[in-house]
Amino acid sequence: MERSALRRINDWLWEIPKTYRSDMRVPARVYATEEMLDEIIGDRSLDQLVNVAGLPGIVDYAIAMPDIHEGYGFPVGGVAAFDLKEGIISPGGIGYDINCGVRLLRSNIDVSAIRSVIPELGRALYREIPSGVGQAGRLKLTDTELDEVLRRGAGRMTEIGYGDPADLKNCEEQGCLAGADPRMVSVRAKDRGRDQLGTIGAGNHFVEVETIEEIFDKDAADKFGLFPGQVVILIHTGSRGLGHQVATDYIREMMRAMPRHGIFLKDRELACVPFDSDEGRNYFQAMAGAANFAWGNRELISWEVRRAWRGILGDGAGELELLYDVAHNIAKIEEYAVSGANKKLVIHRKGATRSFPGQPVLVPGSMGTRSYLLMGESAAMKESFGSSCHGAGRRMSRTEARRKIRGGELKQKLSAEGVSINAGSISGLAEEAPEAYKDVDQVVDVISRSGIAAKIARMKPVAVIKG
Amino acid sequence: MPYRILGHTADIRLSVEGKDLEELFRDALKGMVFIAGPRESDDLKETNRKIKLSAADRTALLVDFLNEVLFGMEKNFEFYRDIEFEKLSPTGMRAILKARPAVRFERDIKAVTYHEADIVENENGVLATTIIFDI
Repeated sequence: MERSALRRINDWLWEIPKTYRSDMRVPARVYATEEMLDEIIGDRSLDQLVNVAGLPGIVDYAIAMPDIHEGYGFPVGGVAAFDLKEGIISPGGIGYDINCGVRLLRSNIDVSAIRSVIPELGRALYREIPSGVGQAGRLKLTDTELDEVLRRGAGRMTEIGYGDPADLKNCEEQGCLAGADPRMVSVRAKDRGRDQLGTIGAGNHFVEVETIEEIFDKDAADKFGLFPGQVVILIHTGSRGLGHQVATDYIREMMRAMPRHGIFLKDRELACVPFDSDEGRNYFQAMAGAANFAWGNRELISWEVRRAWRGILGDGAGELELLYDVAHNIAKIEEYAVSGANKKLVIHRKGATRSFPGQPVLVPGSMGTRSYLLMGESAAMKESFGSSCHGAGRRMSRTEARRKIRGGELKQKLSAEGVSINAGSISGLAEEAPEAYKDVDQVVDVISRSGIAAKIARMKPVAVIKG
Repeated sequence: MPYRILGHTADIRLSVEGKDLEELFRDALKGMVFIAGPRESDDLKETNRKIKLSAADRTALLVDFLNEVLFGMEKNFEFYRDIEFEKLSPTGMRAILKARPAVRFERDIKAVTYHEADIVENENGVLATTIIFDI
């Protein structure tokens, strides 16, 4: 896409008008500074956003967050809202890793009290939490047990002793998306996920021990129980193979169903059906089940983190409390003002975080750089369907990262900077190097200036656990 | 080279060619196994895995085939050294995958996507397509 296709609305918001391409039903909007835009134009993400703007029943705009990058079908960092009657639901607008998300656990101690044992804590976390491709978790569920997790998410884990009931009030949707029907999840998807609860997987997933480096808003930080130097733990993972298979199954089914619904698309990965159709309802029920599996997964991982924490630090270090858990790949039914009237819409967030006013928004950077805790603000409800960015966003391909960066050298460099690394794959570590990601400070600045979410605290990693 | 890895910001883009459908499918399989990066077990025992699929067209069949391979790799913790085709048409296939146990995989492939997938005859007169793997 040429730079001239974009119209400047203000210093952090740009629009691709509906006239850019004849099949666009609404304009596309991008949150970015001019400098960031030059990089965004470098891949195909904005072309993908324009494709989204042409989907049936889309409302107001196809929206890109400042961490946007090229995906498949929808771009990553994208938000799109669809009318419940006239609009569609698309698995590609949610992603294969359904309810990939982030949760933040808060301790009550200063990093100075445990600095000498951080490498040991990192090793204990690595031992306790299965990571890497195909590593099984500690539970192997029967069909009935698995169905209960799909129905009830994190709550089910707390009932069987693998979580803390107090966590639920601090999860988006209380850790359970309503409407899940395990019968809509295939046997194959269940087989892929059956032994994967409590595992982080590989790729960009991680568990990190961090410290609060800077507080931007003391009142809000007090409300969230945060203070400078505090040790916190960030968990990033999703629905593992179960969610991946749900998306694969329904994209295939929707491709077959689209002609029946009169939907014809150039990119099969945008496969979609009317939300108000049998296939649309079935996918939503299966997707909700996968989302609940992801919340169950992050709850069990929290149980594992707490076990490692107590094992290394003893009872004197206190408890780890859940500050918040947010999804960043999900579809939700939410109500917004559209043309002066409140209307329920199906919001697709693919690499985007819910950002309701007052709600914590977690924005992980990359290992070696900073992560942020933000708080949703009112502009999100007016401009971005209650959504914010989800991370720094990639800027370098995995193959280029492997070519340019040596995993072993990166590990040494980060260690010298005070970040203890425990990773199953050293070459995989290179793919996730800080250089492979955009500048998270710039991404968060755009979100903050736009009024979508305010900066509350910045965190820096001291131990990283990866598959 | 039967396949090439091309740039993609977040995932992996595989370019694959073949003089016919059989070669294209075989090369796509090899490319995918390369991306997953299995470390072979000392146990070199080979297992035959039967595979039978149908799809609307040859592109959908290729993506469905690779997703079937992905499921097998993840469920059985194995990789596929080769494939013997018993039948292959644009809308259906029956084949035997030659499986070997893996000790670990370098990359977690989440899914094989349909994005950009389109088998066409290129300027060299061979069948070619791009496949994007969600990582």
